[in-house]
Amino acid sequence: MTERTFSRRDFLLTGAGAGVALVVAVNLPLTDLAAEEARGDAVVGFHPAAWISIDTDGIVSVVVDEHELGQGVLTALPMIVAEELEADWSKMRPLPPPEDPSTWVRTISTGGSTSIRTAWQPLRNAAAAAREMLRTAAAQTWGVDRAECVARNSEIVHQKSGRRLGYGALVEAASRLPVPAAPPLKANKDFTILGKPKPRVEIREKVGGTALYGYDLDLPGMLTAVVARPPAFGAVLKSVDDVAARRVAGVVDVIRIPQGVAVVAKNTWSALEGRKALRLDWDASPAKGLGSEALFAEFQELAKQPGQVTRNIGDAPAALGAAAKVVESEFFSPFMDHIPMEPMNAAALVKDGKVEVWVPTQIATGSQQAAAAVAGVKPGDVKLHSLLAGGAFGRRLSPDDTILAVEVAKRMPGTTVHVVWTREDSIRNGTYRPLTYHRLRGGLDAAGKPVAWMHHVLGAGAGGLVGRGDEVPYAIPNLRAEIHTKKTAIPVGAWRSVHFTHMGWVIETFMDELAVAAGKDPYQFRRDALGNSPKLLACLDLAAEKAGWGKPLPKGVFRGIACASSFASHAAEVAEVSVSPEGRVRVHRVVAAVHVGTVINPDMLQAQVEGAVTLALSYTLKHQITVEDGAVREGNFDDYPIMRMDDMPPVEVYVVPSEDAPTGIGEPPVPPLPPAVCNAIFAATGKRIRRLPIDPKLLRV
Amino acid sequence: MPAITLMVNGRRRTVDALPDTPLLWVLRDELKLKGTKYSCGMSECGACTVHLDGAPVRSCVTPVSMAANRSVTTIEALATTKDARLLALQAAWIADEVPQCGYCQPGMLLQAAGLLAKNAHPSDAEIERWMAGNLCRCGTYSRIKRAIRRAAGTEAATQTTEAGHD
Repeated sequence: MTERTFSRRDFLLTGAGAGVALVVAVNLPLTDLAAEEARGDAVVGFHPAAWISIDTDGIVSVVVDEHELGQGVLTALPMIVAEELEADWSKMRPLPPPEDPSTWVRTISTGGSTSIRTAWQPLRNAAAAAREMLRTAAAQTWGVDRAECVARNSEIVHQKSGRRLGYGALVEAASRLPVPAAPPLKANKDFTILGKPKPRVEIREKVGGTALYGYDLDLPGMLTAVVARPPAFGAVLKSVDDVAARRVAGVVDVIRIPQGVAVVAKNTWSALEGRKALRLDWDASPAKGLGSEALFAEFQELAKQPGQVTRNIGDAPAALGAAAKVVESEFFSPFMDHIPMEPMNAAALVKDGKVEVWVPTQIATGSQQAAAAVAGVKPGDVKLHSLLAGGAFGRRLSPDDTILAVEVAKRMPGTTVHVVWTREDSIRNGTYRPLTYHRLRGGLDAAGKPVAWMHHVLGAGAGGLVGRGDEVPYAIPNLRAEIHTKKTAIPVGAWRSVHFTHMGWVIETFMDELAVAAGKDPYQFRRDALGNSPKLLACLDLAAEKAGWGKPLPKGVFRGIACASSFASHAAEVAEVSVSPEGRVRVHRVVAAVHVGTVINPDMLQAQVEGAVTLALSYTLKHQITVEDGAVREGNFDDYPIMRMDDMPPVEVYVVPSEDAPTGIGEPPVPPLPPAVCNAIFAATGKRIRRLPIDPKLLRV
Repeated sequence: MPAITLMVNGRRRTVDALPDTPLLWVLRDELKLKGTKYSCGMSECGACTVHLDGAPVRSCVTPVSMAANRSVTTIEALATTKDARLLALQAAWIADEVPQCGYCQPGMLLQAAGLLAKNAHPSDAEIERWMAGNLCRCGTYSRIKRAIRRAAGTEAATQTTEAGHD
């Protein structure tokens, strides 16, 4: 995209009232743009919407205002446009998010499995409007009825005469036409691009070693810095002796910032060696007693008191009192880190009241705002370069990478400083999925139907990260959810699937306990209670069918089933598991069934499910963050292990056919996996897993 | 700082570096070969895998002095290589749509090339054992396995990208 078009779009969007709701903001530029074009503004190309532009050479540029984190959004959003525009796929060009997020039509932030869900309607409408305008332009050029003009593969074809004009040749005429307000949209049955596998647009770079991530940044005159951070959350720096550090070859400066001490050097190794030579005296006493076990103990005690009621249906305490059978349980869920393969990093340049930031983020808008706040400038004075991210999983929703870079760079005006984090820095300064403790009570009537459900969740973080109680998908007539939240010095944030990471596990394990208490098959027990959730029920049935629920398994292998609706999508999973006499859990097969409405890119959908299952297996079987006296005990893959190739079972993915508007797939397959595995372990051993990750010692025979 | 000479992707390169500097940082910061990735710094994840005299090593724990006067191959060699094995692997990686975020994949490809150099037709168990030290957080393991089989010619080169089986 040329400089000219970019500045023009900025102007238009500002004029149209940037920052208002998505649908309005997207429609406004359409109207405004048409007015602009009608005035004969000398702009090359045709810009039917802020997100889409078609050049005179027929290239269709789509601003992908979502971050590519591996989930394939750089491919998916242009696919939506190409379908409705009837464009030749080879002519599609994704563009990165704009460098001034403050002027963009919506917040640039990729999370909550919302990319496709929120872009679907506006992108389709805009692309359809463009297609209709191109048809009209062709009809007028030829002096024929537009009904005879068909859009196909980046051309308008006049069917009677066989004449054809490429989109590039039509953009000038089309740009003078009014924008149709409600252009017709294609029916799913006519899709030629959507629903068919499409390779990711950046595949060659990613297998050729030429894809450049944030960590790979290399700018002229750039220096590299690492920051010595407090050894415990809340520890205070008492004194700094940097004499030896400054003597390390390549070290340029040692700078105190609020978050610690930065060692700035000519290269990474010098910065690391310089940091090693720092002599820092920290007072960690404020962190004394702050830890995972202390929080669990505190929450266990606190659970005896009522919490804040967040969901209340019927009269759960009364129904529990009247129940034929009552089941009581508790669950422990630890802190966890996201641990994307690319450790955290960001670069910044502060010069003459302007800031430039380069960061592999999933929240460009928030990063820009954070940089502005640290540098004391307006957001519009921060140029934000969103770089390719080596994984994110929610970690890069926090702009602490950017903040650290700007803190250092503003103390070295005129110099670009790339602040890189080691793996240990990243693990010990995370934004963790909060630790939670859960108490549940459930009641069955004489027929074994669930009639009462009480869930008290207590967590070390804000309510949105801890849970609300509305995660239960079942029609239970008496249900009460209560929460307790506690803010600690341990930083917390959104992890792939957020509160569903633990709520899914707890709810679905408890559901299994109720099924056992009722003497019913866990699949049938769920079926009977899913009357209000037909989409989730469809997933459950499909997963059970494909997994061969109820059919014989090899000796020693057992099945578990679970399901969850999250982020507007639905997923059910069946895990086949064996447990060795030593307590080692082996997952042999995972069958997943999902309901996401219309499928955009089936191969990418499958990859997201495979990835979600892998990630969920890691936190089920392998890793946790343990805080002791404010310090994170883990530091690298040796003590924070993730699934390896030889641990991984085959994952089968099935999709419930649907023509509904698409929803997201990044997160929804995560929540059912841990309970499916834990329920299979119960089937195998009769032992309930009440704490993740699973401790093999508890499963020894 | 002493000058150290190494052959990188067929080119003779001389760098000034302390002998204990990990090869990873020399490749990335001095030679600007950014395709070799840092992720753990302690030989736990394999993202930094390169070939030293044809065999995969973890460059994050390989002092540059160990590579002196030896041949280093990085992922950037793919652009010019005539090595049929590497090219077959790369083609398979594309056919099986392996990468998600892609950050671990240069290391994965070089690790896999090391396997096929020793064992042209590895079994699944052999692939799993050989690749178990290379971590992928996105969860691309099954596709990596399939791509290695494809490159080795032990998997029918069918299109395997449909979601689900019905």
